[in-house]
Amino acid sequence: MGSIASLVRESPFGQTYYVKIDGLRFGLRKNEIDVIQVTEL
Amino acid sequence: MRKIAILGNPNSGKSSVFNRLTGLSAKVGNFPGVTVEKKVGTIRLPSGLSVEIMDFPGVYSLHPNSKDEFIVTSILTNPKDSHFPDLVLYVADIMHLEKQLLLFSQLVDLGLPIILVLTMKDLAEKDNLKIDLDILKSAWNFPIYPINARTQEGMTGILQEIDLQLIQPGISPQQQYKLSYEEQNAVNGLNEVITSNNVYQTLLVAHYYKQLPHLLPAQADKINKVMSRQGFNSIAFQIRETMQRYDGFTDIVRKAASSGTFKVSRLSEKADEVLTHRWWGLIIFFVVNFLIFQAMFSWASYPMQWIESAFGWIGGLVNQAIASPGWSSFVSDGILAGLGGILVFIPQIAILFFLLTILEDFGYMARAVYMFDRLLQKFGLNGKSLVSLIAGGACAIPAIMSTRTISNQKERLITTLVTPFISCSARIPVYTILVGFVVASTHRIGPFNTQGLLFMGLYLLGIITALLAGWILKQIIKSDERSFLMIELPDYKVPDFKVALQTAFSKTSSFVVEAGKVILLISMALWVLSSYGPKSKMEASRRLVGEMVVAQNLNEQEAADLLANKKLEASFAGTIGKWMEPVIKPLGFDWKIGIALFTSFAAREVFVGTMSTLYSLGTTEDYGTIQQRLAAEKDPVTNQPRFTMPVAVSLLLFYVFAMQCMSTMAVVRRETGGWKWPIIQFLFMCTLAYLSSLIAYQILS
Repeated sequence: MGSIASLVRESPFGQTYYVKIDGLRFGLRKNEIDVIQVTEL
Repeated sequence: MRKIAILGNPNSGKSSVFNRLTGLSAKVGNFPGVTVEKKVGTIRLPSGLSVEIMDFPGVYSLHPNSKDEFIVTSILTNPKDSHFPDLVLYVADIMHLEKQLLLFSQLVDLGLPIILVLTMKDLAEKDNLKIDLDILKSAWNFPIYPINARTQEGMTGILQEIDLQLIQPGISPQQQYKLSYEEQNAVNGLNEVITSNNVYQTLLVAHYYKQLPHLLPAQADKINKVMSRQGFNSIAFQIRETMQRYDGFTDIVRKAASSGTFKVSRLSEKADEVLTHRWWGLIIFFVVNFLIFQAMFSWASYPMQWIESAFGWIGGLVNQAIASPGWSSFVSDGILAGLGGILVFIPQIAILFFLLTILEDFGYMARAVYMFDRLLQKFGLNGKSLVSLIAGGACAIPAIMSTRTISNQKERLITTLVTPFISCSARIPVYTILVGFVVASTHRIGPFNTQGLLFMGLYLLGIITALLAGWILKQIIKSDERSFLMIELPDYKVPDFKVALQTAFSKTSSFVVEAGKVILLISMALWVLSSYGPKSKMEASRRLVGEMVVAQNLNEQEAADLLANKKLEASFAGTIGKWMEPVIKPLGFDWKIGIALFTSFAAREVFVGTMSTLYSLGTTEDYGTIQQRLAAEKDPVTNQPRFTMPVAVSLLLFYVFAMQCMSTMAVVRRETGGWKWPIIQFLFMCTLAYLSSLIAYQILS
C-alpha cells in the first residue's frame, strides 16, 4: 500500500519485532513482518 | 429502544467516549452465544429520548482475524440482529486519522448513518495539526465532531447530533469500494439466495457465509455452491478491497490535514528505547509489577477489614433479629458468609484493575505484551496472555475473562486453563497461617525474612507451574489455526483516571456477579452439609457436649464453640471428611483437614473459617490465634504435634496446585462452551496437587 515499514528493535526474548509503519508502531511476529517490506534495521 | 453502536479501531479512544457518554450506567455482558465482551449503557438525549449505547470490540476492519472482530462482522451483516445499530458513532484518533478509516469506509458502504468522532483534539492542537473538516464532510456527507474526551469538550454536540440523526439519518450516497467484475458476479449470484438491499453486505456474506450464525444451513449450502462455481478468491479480494479503500481515503485525509502529514511522537519512541530495552525493559517490568502488587495488598488491607467488620456487624444484627437459631445461622453463616467471602476481595480486584487500566491507557501494557510474546509462545501462550497472568494474582475469574482478546483459540484455551495456577488473593490467608509451621517468623536469610521468601517462593511455584502446564498443553492440544500478535504500540499519554475508575468499577461488578452466583449457592449448600447430619450422630454429639460442659465446667462461649465443633464433626461435611481420611492420610492430613479441603472447594479462603470452627475458635479469623491453636493440636495416636513442618508443606503445595474454586470452574465452562475443559482442568490440577503433597510429605516426614 506504499507504506514504509522500518524494523526498530527485536524484543528481549527475540522473534517479536518493534516495527514502525508510517509513524504507527506495532509489535509484530516474524511471520507477520515477512509480508511487509522492511527497509532498515 | 434505538441502538447506537460505538465502533472504531483499538486505541482510538472508543472506550473513553463510551465511558463519558454512559458514566456508571454501563454494564458489561456478553454478546449472545459467544464470550465476547459487550458494554452497554443507556443515556437520555437532549430531546428526552432514551437510547442504548453499545461499545463494540475495537477492530481494524470488517474482515476479521479474531472472535472479537468476527462478532462485529456477524452483527453488521444481519440487519435483523437485535444488536444491529440505528446509528454508528465512529471513533478515530485525529493524530492517526489516515490509518483509522478502513473500517469507517466499510461502514459507509454498509449504508449505516454515521457520526464521525475525532478524539485527541487536545494533542492535535498541541502539535498544531489542523484538519479541514469541510473537506472531510464534503467527501462523506457525515457530521464530524472533534472532541477531547478528557475534558468532555465536544461531547454535548454529539448528543444533539444523535438526536438529529435519529430523526433524519444522513447516509453517504457514494459507494467507497468499487467491486471487481468477479465480486459483482458473486454478489449477483448471492442475490438469488439471500435478501439484501446492500451490495457490500452481500459481499461480506460471500466472504464469511461459512461462519455467519444467522444463515440457515440450507442457505449456506446454496451459497457454497454459488461461490465454488464462481471460484471466489476471498483473500485476493480482501487485499484488493483494502488497497482500494486506503487509496481512496488517504488522499482525502492528506488534503484535509494542514501539515499534509501526521506527526510521530518522538517522545514515545525515546521512552521505548528504555521501556522496551532488552534488559532495562525487563527490569522495569518487574519493578512495575512489584509496585502494583505492593499497592494492591497494602491499599486494600483497610477496606478489606472494613468489609469484614461490616459483615460481622450485620451477622450480629441478624442473630439478634431472627429468633430461630437455625434460620439465624443459615442467614449469617450460609448467606452472609458467602456474600462476605466474595465482597471482601473487591478492594484488591478493584485496585488491580484500576492500576492495570492506568498502565493500559498510558500505553505500557501493549509494550509488555510485545516484550513477553516470544517467551510465552514457547509455553503455548500469547503475549496477550500476560494480562491474564498478572490479573490472576488477584482473582482467576476476571483474569480468565480477559483472555477474550487472544484471537488464537488454542492460545486462549491454554491461558484459560493455566491462569488458576497463579496464586490468587484467596490463597493468601491459607499461606499466611501455614508458613509459620514451615519456618519461624524471626528466621532470616541475610537481610531477608525467610517467611517472606517462602511466600515469594509459593508465588513463583505457581507461575512456573502455569508455564510448564502451558508447555504440556501445547504438545497435547492440536490446532492448525495460525497465531497472530500484531499489537499496536500507541503513543504514551497521560492516563484518564476517571475512565480507569469506571473500568475498575465495571470489571469488579462483573466479578461480583460471576463469582457471587456460584459462591453464594455453594456457601448455602455447604451450610446445609455442615449443619445437618445423620440424626443419631447429631443427637449423640449434643449429648456428649452436654456432658462435657458439666464435667469441665465450661462457660457459655466455650460450650457454644464446643457444640459447633462437635456438630461439624457429626455433620454430613464431617462424615465426608472422615470418608476422605484414608485417601488423604498419605499426605499427612486427618479428617479435620479433610473437612477444610472439602469446604475449600467452594473457595479457598473458606479454609480459615472452617479451621476456626473445627478447632472451637468460634468465628475468629485472626491468623495468629488460629496458628497458635493449630500448633497446640496433638495427634491422638502419637500425642505429637499435628501440624508439623511436613504437614504444612504438604498442605501448602496442595493449595498452590489444586483447583479449589467453583466460580472459576463455572467461568471456564462458560468461556470454553462446555464442561469438558473445566473437568480436565480440575482433574489435572487436583492430581498434581495430590501427587506433589504426597511426595513432599513422604520425603519430609
